[in-house]
Amino acid sequence: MSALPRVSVVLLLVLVAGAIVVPWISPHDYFTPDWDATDLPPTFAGWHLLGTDDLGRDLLVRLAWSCRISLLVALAASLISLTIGVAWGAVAGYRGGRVDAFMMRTVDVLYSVPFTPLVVVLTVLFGRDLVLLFVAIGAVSWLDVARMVRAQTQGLAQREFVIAAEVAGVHPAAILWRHIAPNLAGVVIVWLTLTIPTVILTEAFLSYLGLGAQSPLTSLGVMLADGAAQMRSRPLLLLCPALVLIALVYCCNRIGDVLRARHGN
Amino acid sequence: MSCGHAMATESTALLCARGYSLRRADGMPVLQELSFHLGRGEILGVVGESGSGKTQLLLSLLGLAMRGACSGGSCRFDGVELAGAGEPVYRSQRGKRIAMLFQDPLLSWNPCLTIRTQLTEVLHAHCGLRGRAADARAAEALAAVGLAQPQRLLRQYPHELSGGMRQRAMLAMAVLAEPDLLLADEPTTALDATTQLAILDLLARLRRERGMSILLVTHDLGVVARVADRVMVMRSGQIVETGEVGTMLRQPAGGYARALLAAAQQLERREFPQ
Amino acid sequence: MWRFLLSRLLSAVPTLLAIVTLAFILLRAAPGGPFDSEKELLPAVRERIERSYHLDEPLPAQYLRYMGQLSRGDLGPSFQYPDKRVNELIAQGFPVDLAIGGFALLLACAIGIPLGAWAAWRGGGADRLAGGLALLGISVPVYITAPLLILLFAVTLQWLPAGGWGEGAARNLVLPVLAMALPYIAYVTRIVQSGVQATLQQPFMRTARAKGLGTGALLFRHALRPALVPLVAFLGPAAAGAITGSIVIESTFGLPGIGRFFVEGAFNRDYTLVMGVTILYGLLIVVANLLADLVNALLDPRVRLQQ
Ligand SMILES: Nc1ncnc2c1ncn2[C@@H]1O[C@H](COP(=O)(O)OP(=O)(O)O)[C@@H](O)[C@H]1O
Ligand SMILES: [Mg+2]
Repeated sequence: MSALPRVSVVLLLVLVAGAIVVPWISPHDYFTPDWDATDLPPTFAGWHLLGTDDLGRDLLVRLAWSCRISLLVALAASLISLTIGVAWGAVAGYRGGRVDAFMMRTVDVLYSVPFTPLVVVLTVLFGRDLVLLFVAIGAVSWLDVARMVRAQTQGLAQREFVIAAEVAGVHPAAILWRHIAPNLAGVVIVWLTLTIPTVILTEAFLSYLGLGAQSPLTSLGVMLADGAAQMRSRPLLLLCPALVLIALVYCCNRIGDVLRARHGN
Repeated sequence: MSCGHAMATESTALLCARGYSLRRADGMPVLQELSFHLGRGEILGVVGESGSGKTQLLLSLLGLAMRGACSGGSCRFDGVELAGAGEPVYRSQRGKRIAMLFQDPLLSWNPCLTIRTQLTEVLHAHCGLRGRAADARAAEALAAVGLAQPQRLLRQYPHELSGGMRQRAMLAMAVLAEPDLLLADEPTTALDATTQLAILDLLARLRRERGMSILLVTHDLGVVARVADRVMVMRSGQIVETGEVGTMLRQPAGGYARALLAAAQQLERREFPQ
Repeated sequence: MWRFLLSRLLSAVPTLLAIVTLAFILLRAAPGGPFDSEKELLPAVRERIERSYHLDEPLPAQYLRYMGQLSRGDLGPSFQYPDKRVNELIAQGFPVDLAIGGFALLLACAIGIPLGAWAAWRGGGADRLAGGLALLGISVPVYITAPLLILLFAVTLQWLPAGGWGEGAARNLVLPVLAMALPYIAYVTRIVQSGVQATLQQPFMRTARAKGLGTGALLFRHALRPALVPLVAFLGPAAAGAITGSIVIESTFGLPGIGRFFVEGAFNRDYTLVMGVTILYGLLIVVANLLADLVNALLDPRVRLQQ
C-alpha cells in the first residue's frame, strides 16, 4: 500500500486553511475599492502582502476568497453528482435485468453529449448564477460515478452478507442503504478526489469566460481573466491566482492518484 | 570452478551447475546450492511440487527471474558463466543459444501480432534473415512441428489457433534459431492428452535429430518416463534426488521421490494407456 | 467492414437527431430572443425582421422547417451576421480550428507516446518523473498556459506574435498549438505510461525477452501496441473536442475560429449558429469514435467490430 503523498496533503491543508483564515485576520475585504492604494506592489505598509489590484483591493484577500468559492463550488457540485450517481448506479447494479439495461443505456446516451459546451450553453442561457453553475456541473458529471458504483454494486450483490440479508427478507431499499452503501465508500472517495479538481477547473474556465462568479464576487477564473488582461504591466496579478489554482488542482489529483492505486484500478 | 572433477559425463556437459543459488530482492532464497549437469543431446527431467522453484530455475538461466533476483554460485553453459552474469551475457544467449518453451500457450503469444511477425523477428534477430527468406524458414519450421497449411498459419493471429496448435507453433518458434539448449517449462500441462503425446514426441525428435539438450520441467512423472534420460527432483528450492529415469522410477531412493511416484502412477495410467 | 461502417453511421442518426432536438428545445426555452438587445428597434420593424426569419410561426412549425432545411444540408441564415449563412461562417472558421487542434494532437502524440513508453520501460526515477510532469500538465489549464506563453514568448522575448491568425502563418500557429497541446501531451503520456506498464507485466513480454529481442523490438513492437488501445479510445472524443475549437485559445490569441461562435451565438440567441456548431460537434464525435473503433480493431485483432 502506497503512503499518501505528504507534500500534497500538507500543501492542500495549507491552502484550505489559508482560504478560511486569511479573510478573517486581514484588515481588508475583497470588494471595497481603495482609490488611494491602487496597483500597489507587495508591501507591509497597510498589510497588502501581495499588493493590490487596479481598484485597490487586497490581492491576498481576494485570492483567499477565490479559493473559498472554488472549493465551495467543487464540493457542492460533487455532492450533487455524487447523490445522483450513487443512487442511479446502486439501483441499476442491484436490480439488474431490464431496469439496469435501461438505466445504463441512458448513461451511455448522455455520455455522447459534449460536456463543456453543454455547461457553457446552460450558463449562458439561464443566467450567470453561481448556484446554477454548480447545479449544472453537478447534474452533468454524475455519469462516471454511476458507472463505477454500478460495477461495485454488482460485485457486492453476489456477496454472502447481501444474500443472507435477502434470504432473511430484508427490504431491498434497506439492503441498499445498510449493506451496499457503506461498502461503496472506497470508490466514492477515489472518485471525489479526482472529480473535485475537475470541477475546480470547470468553474475557473467558466468564470474566466465571464460566465461564472460575477463582480464584485471573485473566483480563481475571474482573477485569472483580470490578471491576463493586465499581465504586461502587472504579471503578479496573473501569476498568483495561476499558482494557487495549479497547486490546488495538482494536490487533489496527486492524492486521488495514490488513493486510486490503493484501491487497485 | 571446473566441472571436470566428477564423472566423465560432466566434463563434456553442456550445462553444469555447482552450488547455483538464487535469492529474491528481499534476500529470501528461492534456489539453494543446486548442483546438476546436462549433457549434449540429453533430456533432463525436473520434477517437484508447485512452488519448488522449477520455473524460477529456468528463467534465471536466461536472466529473466523475478525482478531484483540475483543468482550466485556457478552455472556454466558451454563455457559461459551464467550465475551472476550481466544483461549483455544473457542477451547474447537468449533465443540464439538457449531457448525457452512456456507453459501457457495462449498467454505466451503477443495477441496483437501475427504468427509471422513473431516467428520472423527471431530469424531477423539471430540469423539476419528477413522478408521472403524469413517467411520460408518460418513456414518450414511450422511444417516441421506437424502443422498443416503453414503459409496460411503465418497470416493468422494467436487467438485464431487451437491450444495444441499454439504450443506446436511456440515450439517451432523456440527452436527457430537452432539453439543448443531448450528450457521447457511444463510444456504439456495445459494440453489435452493426445496433444501432450505429440509435443513430447516432437521434443524427443529434436534431441534425436538435432542433438538438442532439453531441461524439461514437469510435475508429471509420466512425461519424465516417456522422454527423459535422467530426472532431478526438487523441493523448496533444493535438489532432493537425481538419477537415471529407469532406476528412479523402478526403485526411488528417497521417500519424497517415492511419494511423488505413487501419486503419479494413477495419473500416468489414466493419461498414457499402454 | 463496409457493413460495419454503414450500420454505425446509420445508428448515429438517431443520436444526432436527439442532440439537434435537445439543442432546439434548450435554446427556445431560454429567456430572451435574437433581437432583444437592439432596443431601439421599432415594434413594427422588429416584427418584420422576425417574420422574415419565420420566428413568428409556432415552435413545432419552426422545428419542422429547420429539420427540412437541415435534411438539404442547409444550416440556415445567421441572425447575428445578417448577410451570412451559418454554413459559410462554419466553412470560414473551421479550418482555423482544424489546423490548431490537428497540430496540437499530433504534437501530443509525438511527445507523449515516446515519453510515456520510455518512462514505463525505464521504471523507477524516470517513471516518477514522467508521472509527476504529466500530473502537472493535467493540472495546468489552457487559460493559464496561454497567457503565460504570450507573456514569455511574445511580450518578454518577442520571438513570436502574441495573437492573430495571419492567414495561418507558422509563426502565428506556434503559441496556440503549444498551449492547446500541453494538457494533451500530459494525458497521452499518462495513458501510454500506464498502458505500457500493464503490458510489461504480461507473460508474452517474457516470451519476447526469452527470444533475445532488442530493446527497440521489445518496447515498440511488443509492449507499445496493446498499450495504444486505451490511448485511441481517449483520442477519439478528444480529437472531436480539440478540432471544434477551444473558446479560450481563440479568445486569448484572437483567432477567427468557430469556438467563439458558440459562446457569442448563445449570448445573442443566434439560434441557427449555435445549432450549426452543435451539429458539427455531434458529427465530429460520431466520426471520431468510429475512427477510434476502426484503429483499435487494427491494433488488436481480438476486437470484433460491433455493429
Ligand atoms: N514474481 C515473484 N516474486 C516473488 N516470489 C516469487 C515470484 N515468482 C515466484 N516466486 C516464488 O519463488 C518460488 C518458486 O516459484 P516457481 O519457480 O514458480 O515454482 P514452480 O514453477 O516450481 O511451481 C515460490 O516459492 C514462489 O513463491
Ligand atoms: Mg512453474
